[in-house]
Formats: sequence, structure tokens, C-alpha cells
Amino acid sequence: MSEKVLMKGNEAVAESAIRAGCRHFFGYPITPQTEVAAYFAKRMPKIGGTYLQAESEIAAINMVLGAGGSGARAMTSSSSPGISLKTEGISYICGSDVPCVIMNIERGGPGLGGIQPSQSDYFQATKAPGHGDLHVIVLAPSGVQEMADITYNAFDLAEKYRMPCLILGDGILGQMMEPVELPEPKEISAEDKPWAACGHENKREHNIINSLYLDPAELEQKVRARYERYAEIEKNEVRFEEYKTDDADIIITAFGATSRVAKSAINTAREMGIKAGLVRPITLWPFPKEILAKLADRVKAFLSVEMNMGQMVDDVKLAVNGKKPVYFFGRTGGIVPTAEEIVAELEKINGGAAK
Amino acid sequence: MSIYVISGHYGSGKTNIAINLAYELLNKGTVAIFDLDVVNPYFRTADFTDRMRSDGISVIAPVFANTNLDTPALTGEFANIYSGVYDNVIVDVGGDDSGAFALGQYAEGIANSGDWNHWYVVNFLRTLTLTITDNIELMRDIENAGKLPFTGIVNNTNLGAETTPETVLRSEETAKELSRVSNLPLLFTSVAEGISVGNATTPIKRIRIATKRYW
Repeated sequence: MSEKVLMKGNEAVAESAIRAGCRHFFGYPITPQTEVAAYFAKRMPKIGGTYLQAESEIAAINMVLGAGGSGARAMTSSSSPGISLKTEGISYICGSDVPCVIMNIERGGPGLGGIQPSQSDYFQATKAPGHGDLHVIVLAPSGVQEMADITYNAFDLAEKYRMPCLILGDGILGQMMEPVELPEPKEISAEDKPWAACGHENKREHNIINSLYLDPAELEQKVRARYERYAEIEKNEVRFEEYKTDDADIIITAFGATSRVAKSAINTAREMGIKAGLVRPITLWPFPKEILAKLADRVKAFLSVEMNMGQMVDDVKLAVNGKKPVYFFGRTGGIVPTAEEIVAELEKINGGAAK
Repeated sequence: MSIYVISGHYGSGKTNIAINLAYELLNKGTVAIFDLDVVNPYFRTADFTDRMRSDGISVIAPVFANTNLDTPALTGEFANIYSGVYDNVIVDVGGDDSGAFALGQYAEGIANSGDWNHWYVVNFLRTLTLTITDNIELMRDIENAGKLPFTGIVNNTNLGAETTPETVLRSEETAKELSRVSNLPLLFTSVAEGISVGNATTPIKRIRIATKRYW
């Protein structure tokens, strides 16, 4: 076990990616994720890796398609407006079955929005990170250690299912500092990937990385095969954290930095006699539907707390399926909900503080 | 007039050192803290403006600090770093050489002001400043960008909330080594209140940790 170090979330992601064998980072600076690129810029030349500041986000994501297609562990990162620019490339990567890791350190939107933290790209990440029938695995860390661990594992996940893993963080997670124990470095070889376009030396059929299919029937077959893989992921890769749900009457659903505020609120509410608990999705796609459906049989209500105008709440409603009321509380535009605000919502749902 | 310029790697704890120094200097006349950080969007001196102002410390920050704008605009007021308006001036510089670029335009005025100091703040538990080589390289980069040579080193090694006495004590030898190699005095090792470091071998300065918490 290595000695703990003190890191920003953004740095932990970059260092952890390097330790996972990522030697190709393509990016473009944008607040509040610039430390990711800055960190790679310092480290990559010293370890024989490539850090490339592309001329735009669109160029960067297409470089990821190329590097990933050749079997390399490749990554890009950005913040909300930059991710919008990358969506075309993400769709091509999904259509080409290329693994890669993408990180979004969300800021306020829409448009240029602002540089303060936000979670308003939930819809984009989980429903339409690009055009076409597709999914990407969406991972939502809630602290610096988890940012390191999730990034480290994201490359394996991406390669296992040959698709992008999107790490959805927010400005707080990117900028905050916490002690972290970094994972052990590992070596990765492109030769382990029989599909990669990494040079056939006339010893095998050449591999093609492509998302264009002239025959609609062939395209349908490709997409269907991909959806079989998605079903596997929904079966095997769902991850979530439960906090004080055992005796809870009200379940808060919150992810990322917001879940930390929610935990403070739950502790305060419990002192007032309100039995609240938390389900924190760690995978936003696949979404932890089953635990919510199970809890819906037992608890009185759900409250989704988000840094947006109500996005994940739709998935909570689908999972709860009308069995219990699902409420929403959110702040947006770069404002972080406070524990006091969440407690006030819990009191309202509970019909005033319990005696 | 005394000027203290605080530089270092981003996340090394410059802002905490700057704020603590501001309170320490309050009994030596007027104190102004200039937030020169044009790099860091979230955790910065300007977070504590209201509290410091009510305690009698002048705070001068970039126009759009802590807003939704990513515009690093410094006002003309920053010329007061060396104008003599304040008895004690602290300049909280942005991290790394990229942050130190903003210092460059004031460096000549500072260097001609007489009593000036340029502190290099280091946390040896940050992954980009673990070794002596890392730090010497970064110090040169900052000096080149900020056009102001360092005059001393502050050892601010910590693990945030998980800092133990061992965290601090283990860093002392590295701090002394950096002092030897860079030929700069090790001014002090800063230690948060409540962490007992009785057997320290470097000068210890107690600091209060000012952090912004969301939860």
C-alpha cells in the first residue's frame, strides 16, 4: 500500500488514469477541469506518454477514437460545454465499439453557463451522450478517493464491454482536496485486444474501426448485438451506496457531491426524529432500479436532491413506478444545495418534525 | 512597509498561510491581502473576504473572483501592493508558474520597495512536489514567470483532515534538504492547531485552517 497523498479530485483522476496504463490524453482546457490536462501535461512527457492539447474538443475526442481504436488506453476530459462538443465523437466511438474514458467535471449551464459546480448534464450523460441507439457507462464518484478508484477501474470496464466509460463529476469534486491512497501502477499491452487496429504484419486479417454500415440489416444486427451487451451491463455492473436505509421512512436519492450534503442533512433530520436514509447511485447508467423498487415497498416517500432542475428524479420515478410519492429538491446555476434546505424539505414531506 | 509574496504549487496551502500571516501582522499596523490568484476558480482567499474585512484586514481580489465569469481581471488597485498605502502587504499568488505570471507585472515595484519577502510554500505530500527535484524545478519555473526570486521556504506538509504528528515530523528532513539544495532558509513548518509536534526539529508555526465547506 502506498503512502497517502493530498490531491485535488482532478489530479487524482489524472494520476489514477496513468496508473491504469493510460498513456494517451487528448484535451482542451476548460474550467473547472483544467487541472486534469495540466497534470497530464506535466506527467506524460516524463513517462513516455502523450499529452496533446488539441485545437478543439471535437478534435480531442476524435483523437481518442483513433488511439482507442489502435488498442491504447486513451482518455479525454472536459466540462459541460466541452462535452457537448464531444458528443458527435462519442457517438462514433460507440458505433465503432472502441473503449475509452471520458470525464465531465460539470459546471452551470445551459450554454456557456458558468464555472461553478452543477449536475445538470445528467440527462446528457445517461440518455443522449451522442446520437443513435447507444449507451455509455456513467460513473458518479462522490470524493477524491472514489475519483481515483473509479478512474482506475473505468479503463477495465470500458475494455470489457468495448465502449466509453463516462465519469460524471462536478466542479466541487474536481477542485476539492482530500487524502487519497493511489492504486498500484500497471502495464497494459495493445496486443491483448484482437479487434484493435494496431498493425497486422500480414499475419492476420486486418481490423477495421468503423461506424458506417451500408446495409441496414447489418446495422440493425450490430446495434442489437450491442444492446445484448448493454443488458449484460445492466445485470452485472450496477453499483450504489446505501446510507442509513435500514429503518428509513424517507429515502433521499443523490449522487456525487450532492450526496455528501444529503448525508449531513440525514444526520440532522434523524436528530429531529425524521428517519431519513440515502441511496447514492455510483453507476448512473446502469441505474440502480432494483434497490429503489425494493425500498418502495417499505418506505413512505422518496426525495431526489440534485444540482439541477430535476433530472435523475425521472429515473427514480420510473424505478419507484408509482408505488410511493417521489419529491424533488434542487439548486442550479452553480448553487450547491445546503443541508438546511434539504432538512426543510424532509420536514415538509414528513408533515413537520416528529415529536 | 513590509511585503510578503506567497507562491508555490497549487494546493500547497498558500491561501491558508496568507490568511494566518494577515492576522499575525494585525498588531504591526495596517494589513492588506491581495488575492492575485487568476488560476483557481473555487477555493481561494476571496472566500473569506467578509470575515477578514470585519476583522480590519483590507482584501483586494480580482474583479470577478467567485463569480460565474472566468475572467482574470486585476484592477488598478493592485498597484497599491508597493505604493506604501498599507504597512503590511500580503500577496497570495496563484499556483505554479501559470499563476505566477500575474505577479510579473508587479515584481519590479516589489523588488524596489525595500522590505520584501517571497515565500515558497510546499506540501511534500502533493504528487507533483514529492521530491527535491520536483520542487527545485517548480521554484525555477515560478521565479522565471513571476520575475521575483524566492527568499525563504515554508513547509506546509499536511494530509488535510487526516494530518497526524508523523505526517509533519516525517516531512522535516525533506524540508531541510530542500533548504540546503536551494540555498534558501527554511522559515518555519506550519502545523494546524491541535496537532502535537513536541519533538519537531524545525521552527514550528501554528496555523488555523480556513476552509470552505459545502457539507
